[in-house]
Amino acid sequence: MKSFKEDLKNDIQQVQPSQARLDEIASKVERANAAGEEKREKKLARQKKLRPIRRGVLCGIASLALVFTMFLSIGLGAFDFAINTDGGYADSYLSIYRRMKHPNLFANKNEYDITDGMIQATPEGGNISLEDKNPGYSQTNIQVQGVMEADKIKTDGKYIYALTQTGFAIYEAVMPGDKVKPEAALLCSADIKGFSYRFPAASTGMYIYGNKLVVCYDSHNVCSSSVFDITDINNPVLLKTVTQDGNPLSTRMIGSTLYTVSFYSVDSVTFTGWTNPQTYVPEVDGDLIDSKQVYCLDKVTTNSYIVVTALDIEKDDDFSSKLAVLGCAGTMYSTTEHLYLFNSYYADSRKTQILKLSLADGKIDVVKSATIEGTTLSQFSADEKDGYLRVAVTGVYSQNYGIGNALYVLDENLETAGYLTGIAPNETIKSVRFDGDYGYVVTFRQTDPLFAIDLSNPAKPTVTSELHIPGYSAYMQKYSDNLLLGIGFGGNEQGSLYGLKLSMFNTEDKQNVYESETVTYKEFTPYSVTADHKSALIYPQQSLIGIPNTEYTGCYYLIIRYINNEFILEEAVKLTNFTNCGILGVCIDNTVFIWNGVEMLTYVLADADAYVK
Amino acid sequence: MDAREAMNKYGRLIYAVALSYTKSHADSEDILQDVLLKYITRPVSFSVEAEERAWFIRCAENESKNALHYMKRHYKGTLDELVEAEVESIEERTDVLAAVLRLPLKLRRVIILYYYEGMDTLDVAEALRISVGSVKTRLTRARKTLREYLGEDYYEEL
Repeated sequence: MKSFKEDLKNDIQQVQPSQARLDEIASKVERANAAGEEKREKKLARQKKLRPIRRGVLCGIASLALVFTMFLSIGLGAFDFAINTDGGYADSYLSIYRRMKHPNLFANKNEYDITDGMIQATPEGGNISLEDKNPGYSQTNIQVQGVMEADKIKTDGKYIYALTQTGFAIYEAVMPGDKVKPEAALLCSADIKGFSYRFPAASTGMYIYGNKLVVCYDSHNVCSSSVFDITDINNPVLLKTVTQDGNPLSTRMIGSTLYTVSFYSVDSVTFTGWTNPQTYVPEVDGDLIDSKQVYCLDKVTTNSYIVVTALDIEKDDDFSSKLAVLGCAGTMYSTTEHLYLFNSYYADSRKTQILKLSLADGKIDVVKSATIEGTTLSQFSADEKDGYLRVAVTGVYSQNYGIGNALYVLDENLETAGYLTGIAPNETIKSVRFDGDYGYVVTFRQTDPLFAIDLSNPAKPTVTSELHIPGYSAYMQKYSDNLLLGIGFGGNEQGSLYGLKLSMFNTEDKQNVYESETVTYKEFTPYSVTADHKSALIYPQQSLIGIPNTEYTGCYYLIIRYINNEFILEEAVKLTNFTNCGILGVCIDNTVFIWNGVEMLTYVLADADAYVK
Repeated sequence: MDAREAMNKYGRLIYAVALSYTKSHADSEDILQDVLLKYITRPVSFSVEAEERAWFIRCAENESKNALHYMKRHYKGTLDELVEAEVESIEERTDVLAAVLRLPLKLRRVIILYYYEGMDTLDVAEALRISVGSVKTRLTRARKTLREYLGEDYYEEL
């Protein structure tokens, strides 16, 4: 007969930590206690000093709060202020671990785990702002001048660079002259190890900078960027590949510095104690991010990181700066100086957390963080001008209007400078575009109201014009100085949607914005544009609008001309074979090069003068 | 009593209590650390040693409950699924402990204190704040179930 008691003891002994491990834990506790001791003493001293006046102060604060809430409920209805959620850098991996493992200790009771209610990231929608007025070829639609965005097809007027399913290919645009049809000659194609093509995710794409070609891609949940030297165009040389943990969110390139943002989520099941930081801290190029580079936001609990890195592709050395922030992000907006990350989540009401990073001299640092009511739509929901951040959001509750849309103007410290609520109650924002002092917002329920909003006074944004038309524009681009192009769904007054609709809005008179021309093609849809704005080719120099259409009705590339205030469907180029790379186009001179992932087709535009006659 | 002394005296007990609750080695180590930190940051004085031990047991139980509560809220799947994997890994190495961990919570907290810590029924009753009668019934029920798990006539105590 064996003893149950002895066996149980032996069993537990097998599982339990060794004596050395127990000692280690004890000394850890002692260290933590010593660190806490100082803080407690300081706090006690402070409390002693404050005790006599504390009661009075508390009463004061309470009555102030009461008056304040009364004021709010009477006057504004909604809680219209950006709530500060600043934090600080972590001092050790332990503090990060505890924050993730015991969120209750750190979170304000009223705040929620932002991972839980996270609203899926939306694809980036777009506006145009050409870098060079007339380079003779089409360029990537970028939002902010001086901030390059990745694209799946690029051209420099002579060569065309396109992503394939396994890497990239370089074509030379051969323009033989008037009579002979131009063609694209394949120079080379290169494979990238681990490359996986994700369409239409905004994260896959490439950059051309001088004689460097950078491909950013997602390789099995590791965000990678490969830098190639293309001095010899026929023979690209791989210089280096850098990686960082997480799914790519988006990239930007300012000058020669590549900024990569990825979203790294920790699997809470793999938590195996704080001594294994590999399980809960992201790696950049194989090295763990130092705990001093991990920024923790107050009142925010989450199991995920935003990893931001800066890499100068002209230099051989490593990342010039890297940073991780405990938090989530869905959309990203960048100027040459600041990078804004937006995380929309749902907790009791729709909220968006804004994180502002500074990018001075390739050094990334956290400037400020704040939470606002409402959710953002895309990178174009935000815009910075003269230090003011303007954000258009959906889902803001106000007593007078119910659930509606709002526009906030936040100052440098992300504090509310002005706001406009009650834009189109019970409707949702479908597209936004800012242009200098004016913002244009499209909302939709049955018809498409286009609001023009004057933002010249940051403290008091006002609606100057409101236009109701059937259907809605899913995304807008500035076409020329006084023209705004909208691409979206056609519809009728009853609110049913069909077809592809193009609208040209005249914005010359801000008091009276009107639709100067519109056309609806019932057999086509705008889905490829709503999924990735860069798939639309908008090239005003040739009065050209190119829209891919991959519907069951067939796979077409639509060549639409806007001539003499009229949309003309010049040709629907039918494509027979296509891959998951989608269909993309670029324009050089009067030739459109259409890429379907396998081959480069050419189409010569008709002479615009012929239409005028 | 500083952290090191407390660890030598009660470390293994706290670990065993935490293990009986969470069934997870990693969580138990965390709870052990939390309990010690709690003890030395907010010193409590005890007149009797049994009282001190009871404090550690209660503290470990409360921390374990918090941990379980946290897991319930934050894991999408059911808690049982999660724990099952851990128990299986323990089962590979130990059969008696695994059998104890398969008991209902009510029974296994009594078994751990009675057999592992060697406390008498009165001490167990005081530490868990239940009556001596309950401790005895629970012990009987636990023994009956353990006999089923481990086989008849294997252990004389059961």
